[in-house]
Amino acid sequence: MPDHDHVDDRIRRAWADLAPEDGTHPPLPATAWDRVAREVADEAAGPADPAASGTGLSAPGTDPGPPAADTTSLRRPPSGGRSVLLVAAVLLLVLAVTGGVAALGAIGSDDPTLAAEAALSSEGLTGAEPATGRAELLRVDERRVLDVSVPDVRAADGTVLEVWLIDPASDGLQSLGTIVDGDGPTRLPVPDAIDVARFSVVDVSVEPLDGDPSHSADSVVRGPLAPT
Amino acid sequence: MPALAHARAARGYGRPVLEGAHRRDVSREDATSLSDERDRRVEQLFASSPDGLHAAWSTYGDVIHGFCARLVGPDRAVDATQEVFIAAWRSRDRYDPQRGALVGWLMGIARNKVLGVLRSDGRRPTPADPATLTLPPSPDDVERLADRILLAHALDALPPRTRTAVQLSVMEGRTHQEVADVTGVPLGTVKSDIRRGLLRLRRAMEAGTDA
Repeated sequence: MPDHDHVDDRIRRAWADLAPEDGTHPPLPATAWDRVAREVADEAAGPADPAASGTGLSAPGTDPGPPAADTTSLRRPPSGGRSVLLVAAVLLLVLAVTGGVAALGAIGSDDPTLAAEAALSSEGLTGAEPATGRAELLRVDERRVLDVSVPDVRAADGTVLEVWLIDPASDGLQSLGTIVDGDGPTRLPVPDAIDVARFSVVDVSVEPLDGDPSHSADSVVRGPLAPT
Repeated sequence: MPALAHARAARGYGRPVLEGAHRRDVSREDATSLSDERDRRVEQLFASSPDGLHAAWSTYGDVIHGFCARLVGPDRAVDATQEVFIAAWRSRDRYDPQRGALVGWLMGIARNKVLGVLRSDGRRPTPADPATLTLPPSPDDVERLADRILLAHALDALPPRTRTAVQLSVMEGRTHQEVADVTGVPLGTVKSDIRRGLLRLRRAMEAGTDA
């Protein structure tokens, strides 16, 4: 991999010379894919590409038609991913409200009762190292607690791992506390005043010990609570 | 304002205005994460099947086409772009996502393709728009244009807050504390923004050098 100094120099030089037209490009004609599809389909029939059979690419001389649904969805929307985020947030909220309010609000017995759980993952988090974890919302002695374990992540010196609940509809945040390194999960109280049907996403972030109580935006794992 | 923010403001710990701004910024970060996720998904799909190539074409075709059009003109740009993606498919085993972004790797192929086309024409690169490249054009001019287009593409995907922080740090040489003072964003967030932003810009630029 090139050294960072060299790449950073390229970034500085390119940034200094950046022109407005560098970010705008003439669109490709709709039929331009045909030739690529033909060439690739021809090669796909050969032994060099065993994975290429049955790809759905157009035959020579034919219109490739609309791209597969998943590839169409991958095209960058003009406004970036914000609309996708909104849809995801609405879906999360709907799922939480329709499927989870009753379960999340249930009063359990003295024995710990699992009310909801979340599979935590670093997937989709910018800059996060690959990691997974788990969170369980329990009823213990009429109180709610969240057991959080992130075995793949350890807080670096000068930082702590902080657990948050996120309201995906408003991006509101509630801090539950910090994770204590250890073999088992960290148990954090969840005040009754927090509506977990609303604050339905568990987030774990790296927080520098700089006295700033707000979220660092440096999340390491995240996942939605799902009622059990 | 959530109860927690009220409590912080009452204690004088928090920064109510910035906390509100921060919550919106988390949304932007998430949007960017989704953009990252889309790029990673395309990179994973790319070499696995021709459908993956189609995903790359749909996502990055216009960027590559724009680069080609600037150097060989609009009439030949489509052919050049097609040949870039065909060449990318044929050498797909050489793409390593660990070494950089797919768009940077494709741009490296496009850069070589354009230079080859121009050499075969027996002439040196002539920019379609002379105002955008300093004459006389050379392979270095081609590389610089590739870098600018890649950078513009990467900057477009950065949240405004992150872009500002990186610009103040990288382009103006300000310290993290100075960036925090200028923007009013907490120091920890500034550090995180700059780190993430630089990672994204570097990744966009790195893969093209060995395409």
